[in-house]
Amino acid sequence: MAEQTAAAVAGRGNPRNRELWLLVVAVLIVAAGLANVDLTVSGAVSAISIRISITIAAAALAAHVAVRLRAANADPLLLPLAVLLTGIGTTVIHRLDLADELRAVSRGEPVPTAKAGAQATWFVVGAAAMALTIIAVRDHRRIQRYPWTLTLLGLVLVLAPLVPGLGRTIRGATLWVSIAGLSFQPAEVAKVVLTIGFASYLSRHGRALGALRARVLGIPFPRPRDLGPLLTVWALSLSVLILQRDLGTSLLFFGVFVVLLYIATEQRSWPLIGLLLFSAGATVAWSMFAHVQVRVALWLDPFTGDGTSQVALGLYGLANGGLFGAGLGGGYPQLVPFAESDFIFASLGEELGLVGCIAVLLVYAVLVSRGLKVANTVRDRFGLLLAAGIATVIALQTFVVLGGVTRLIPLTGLTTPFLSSGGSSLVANFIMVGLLIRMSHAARTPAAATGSVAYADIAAPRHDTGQPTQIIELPTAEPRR
Amino acid sequence: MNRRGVTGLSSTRLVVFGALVLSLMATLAGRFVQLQVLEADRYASIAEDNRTRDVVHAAMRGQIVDQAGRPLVTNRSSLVITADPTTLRKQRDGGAAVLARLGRLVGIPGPELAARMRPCGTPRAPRPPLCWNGSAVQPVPLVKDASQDIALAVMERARTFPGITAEVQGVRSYPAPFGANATHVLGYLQPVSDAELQKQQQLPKSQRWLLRTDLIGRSGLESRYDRQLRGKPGLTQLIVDRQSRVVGSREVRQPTTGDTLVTSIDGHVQAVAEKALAESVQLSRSRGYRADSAAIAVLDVTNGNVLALASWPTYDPTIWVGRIDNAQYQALLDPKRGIPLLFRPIQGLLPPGSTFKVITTAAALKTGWSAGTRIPCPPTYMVGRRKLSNFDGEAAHALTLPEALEMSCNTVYYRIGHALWLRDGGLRPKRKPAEAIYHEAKAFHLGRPTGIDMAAESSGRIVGRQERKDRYERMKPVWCRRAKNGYPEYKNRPSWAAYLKAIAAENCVDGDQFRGGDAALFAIGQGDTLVTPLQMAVAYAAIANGGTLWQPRLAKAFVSPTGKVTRVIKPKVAGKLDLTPAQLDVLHQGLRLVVSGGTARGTFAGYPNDQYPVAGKTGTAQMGGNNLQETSWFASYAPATKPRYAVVAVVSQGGTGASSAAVAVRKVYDGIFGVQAGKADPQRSILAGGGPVRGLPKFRDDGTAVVPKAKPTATPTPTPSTAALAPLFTLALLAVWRLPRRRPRR
Repeated sequence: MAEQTAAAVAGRGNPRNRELWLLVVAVLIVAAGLANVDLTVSGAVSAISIRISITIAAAALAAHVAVRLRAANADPLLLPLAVLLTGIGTTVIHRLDLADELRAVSRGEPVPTAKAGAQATWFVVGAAAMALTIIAVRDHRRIQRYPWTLTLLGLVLVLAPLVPGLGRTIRGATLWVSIAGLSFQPAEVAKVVLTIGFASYLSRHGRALGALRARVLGIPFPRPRDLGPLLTVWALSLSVLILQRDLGTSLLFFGVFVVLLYIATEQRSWPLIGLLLFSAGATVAWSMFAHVQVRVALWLDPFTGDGTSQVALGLYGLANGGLFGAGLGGGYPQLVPFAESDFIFASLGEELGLVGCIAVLLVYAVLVSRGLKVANTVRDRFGLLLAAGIATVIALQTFVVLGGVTRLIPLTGLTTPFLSSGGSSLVANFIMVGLLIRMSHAARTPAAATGSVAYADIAAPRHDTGQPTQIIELPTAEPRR
Repeated sequence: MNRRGVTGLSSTRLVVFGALVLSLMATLAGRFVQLQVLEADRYASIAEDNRTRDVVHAAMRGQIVDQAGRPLVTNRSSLVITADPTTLRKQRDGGAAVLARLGRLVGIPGPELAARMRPCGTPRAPRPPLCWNGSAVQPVPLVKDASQDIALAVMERARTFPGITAEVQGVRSYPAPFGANATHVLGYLQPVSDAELQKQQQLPKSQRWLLRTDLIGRSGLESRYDRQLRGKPGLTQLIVDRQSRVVGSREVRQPTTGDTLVTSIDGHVQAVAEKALAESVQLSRSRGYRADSAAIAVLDVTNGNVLALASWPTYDPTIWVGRIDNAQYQALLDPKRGIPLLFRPIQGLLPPGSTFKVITTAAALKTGWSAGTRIPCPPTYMVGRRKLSNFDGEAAHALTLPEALEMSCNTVYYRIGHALWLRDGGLRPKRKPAEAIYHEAKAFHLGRPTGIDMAAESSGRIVGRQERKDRYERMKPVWCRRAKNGYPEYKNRPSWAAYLKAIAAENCVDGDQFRGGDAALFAIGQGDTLVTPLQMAVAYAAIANGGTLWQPRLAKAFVSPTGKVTRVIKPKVAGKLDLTPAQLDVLHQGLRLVVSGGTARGTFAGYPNDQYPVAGKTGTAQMGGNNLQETSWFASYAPATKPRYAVVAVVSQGGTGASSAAVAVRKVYDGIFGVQAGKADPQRSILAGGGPVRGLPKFRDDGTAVVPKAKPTATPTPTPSTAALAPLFTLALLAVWRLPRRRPRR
């Protein structure tokens, strides 16, 4: 039985206890990975690895306590999956730190600052942000009250790097904002804010947008005036692309809105219109902007020149990994530029092989499916759209980045969720996990529950449509007495 | 409860969307399968570079040989104990115990050995050159010139010393033929600097031969011809598997030994010149002179070849081999020891004194004086109100120009200098003053580098009317301040301070004036004039050879390791003197008289002047400084009848020219002409065959030169080949020794 399998995976008993066990497993995997890196590279476990392991364990435990106190019925898989991904990312970053150090030493250059320790610290901040989200947002429905304020805030955040004196252009993209020496990517925060904004807007007006007028090729199309919101988001995305040269963020915002529009209106025409608008935007961008053309050219032929483009180097790394990988510490992932951020999956693929890649991919798939599960079980329209939106953000971002690294689609330049080195992205992702946990708790708590934990786990799957849902819906445990 | 009733939505769209997400993930998974398994070989072959590791082998540096083919610098094999950092790191304690054991064996504390292994720039690493500036995976040389016992102990007990090996490496060695040291000419090597490695990046890839672990020439010929001597490093590509295990190797390029540099130096002449110079310094000192430094140059006047170039004080070049320690380096820069690092023949700046008088004579001949003109030689000569006197108040009736050179009569030259100055308008100069002596000095290429193939040559200083004005503009504020404030730093020597203050006051008012006294002093090589010994040698060589100023040079040719001449450097003419044969003859006459009957007669007593007459000029220059003794000069060439060699020696604060510098010069001529008991014998010449080698020495196809047999007078030198074999023999022994260890014991 599927139920039993899931139970075996998650462990039996109270969902929080299961979560705790899964967290222990996740932290052990990470600690073993760090130790493996150290032993291969230098022959001894380093102090920094031990420190990272302890930091991750402590922060995960603290987050777990927060969930236990304030969202006791939440899905026990969400937090461990996020912790596992972050830990794997930190392990790969640590491995790259060692490689960079070795290279710098052999060249007699100053040793660059290690990034793994900072990543672990950011994990602490992310876990705190998640806990804060769970504690502050006692009922997720409250945050749907401000659709316009949130959308406007998201817009301001997205465009903040363009403010002179505030923005920083790094590697050709104006994505960073620097305040008092600390720089962060407001687009990552905007990702969260805009998803909330989109969800609350569509939960109110979605039905109206679903009204249809004419049929084209047998597909009913919306009224022209209902195209307004989509065109607005399309224009916003294009302006991000043009003003900030950030392909990834632009694509992400537009994609999330189209997906939510489709879920809210249930009209197939919206994805089609979205696709048309996307094609138009992409064509215009390609014909007008050199940086887009460069990306496309490198996608079509990454081996041009001396065969050392970032994409080509990433592909060499992946190919070098093979089925089982070179082993942590056994490859040359440092040869790929920005191996610790955009191309972290190439590093992972080289040292952990196909097996490792598929495993991490599955972790993402499970995380996204748990997000969709929340969407499916939450009892309010806003919650559904928000949970689906968050799942979309994670899925779309993962696909766009990994598609770029594997040369499936042109490279866009987004962080790999949870894996990439970088604080803003990690914190934003953990806030999203916090929201999912909050909604999951709401969904799995019986409407009439009075805070008693005895029936906390009773929330049954709620599918009465007769559709086959097994694909996405991993069964929960049987209700217990 | 109907879900649609609550949210108004069915989960159908979520299912569709979920399916879409899963298909995207599946697509990615499929792509990973394609990239990492199905097409992996294709990418692997494109990316083969990423799976090979380059191991470079340093090339043997080229030799430097003398004009007869005798090695001046060569390589010797040295047993070096190295430690492999990777193996040591894998020890439980990071190799500390192994290093401690090794330390007890070689007598260096283990922690210090550990420090030597730390890459430069890492925490707790000592400063260069003590830290390791090579690659982190390369074996680190820990002990150089290890004894064979130590090497044996390390190799034999491999289990006690994991990662420690003894290797034979090439280091510079100095065979010193006949005891010739030639340190300054040869130069020394030091580890390559970051700046040099950076600079190399601008070169095309095919010319980047410099490795991080390399040594690079820092002075002398080693520096000037570093590129040719360096050779090309060899390259082996190791093919490694995913676990970094070496699974194969491919020799891309064998190391190529650097070219042999054939110099114009003659080892024997160099040795004799060095010895003579040191003896003259001792001679001056025995007479109460300080003799702080000295220099000697021996040129071939027919082509500018430098046969010998020596500086005193000198030092042992082997202190640079391996690692120079701080005390040794400080000693090289210590003024109390005469700053042995300075190369006086090209860096020593001294007033030429009377050796300059040939230039005044040449100027006089061009401006109306003739060979037979008799010029009075009174004890004193008045320039305005200033009374200038002869050296030691000597006087003669009236002298021709050659006789004036013979006697070195200052007043004759004062008169010439003063007269020419007056002709130029004196203190109110004509629009274009002729400045005959000044321009003659320039014609002899004084005041500019000779262009010898060595770095950091001084240009010297010739001061005419324009230079004086320029200097006044520059110095006026200083002089006027000093004129007002005096020299309080000399308050314990009030008379000296007062003298300096008076000069400053004078200069402040009219320091731009080229006064009559200046002109007169300039004519005898005093005043502001400064020259290097090599400049004087080039000038005298030009007088000797009929007026050609050769650019002195040390490098004659490069010979490949297989004995083929790869590049011949032709002698270069730097300029010509504008003197007629008759005018040059006046100089010849005068300079011959100096040796046969003049100021240098005593020094050359017993020298066979009839066989190989020497022409020369003594100089006893006053240093315009603080309580300095006079500089002893002797500038000469020989044989005067058919000049071949120019020899110039100078002993700073060494006394009169004849008493010190000339003694050294005579010893060189004695050697070159094989003088013994007042008779010259070409058979006994220190130059094999009686003269410099014609063309180049012959080279065998193994790159060694056919060296003429040493004369019986020569000190025997050990043959370097057998000396080099000793460590090789040891290693062979070690290899055999280790064999039984492989067998299981007991």
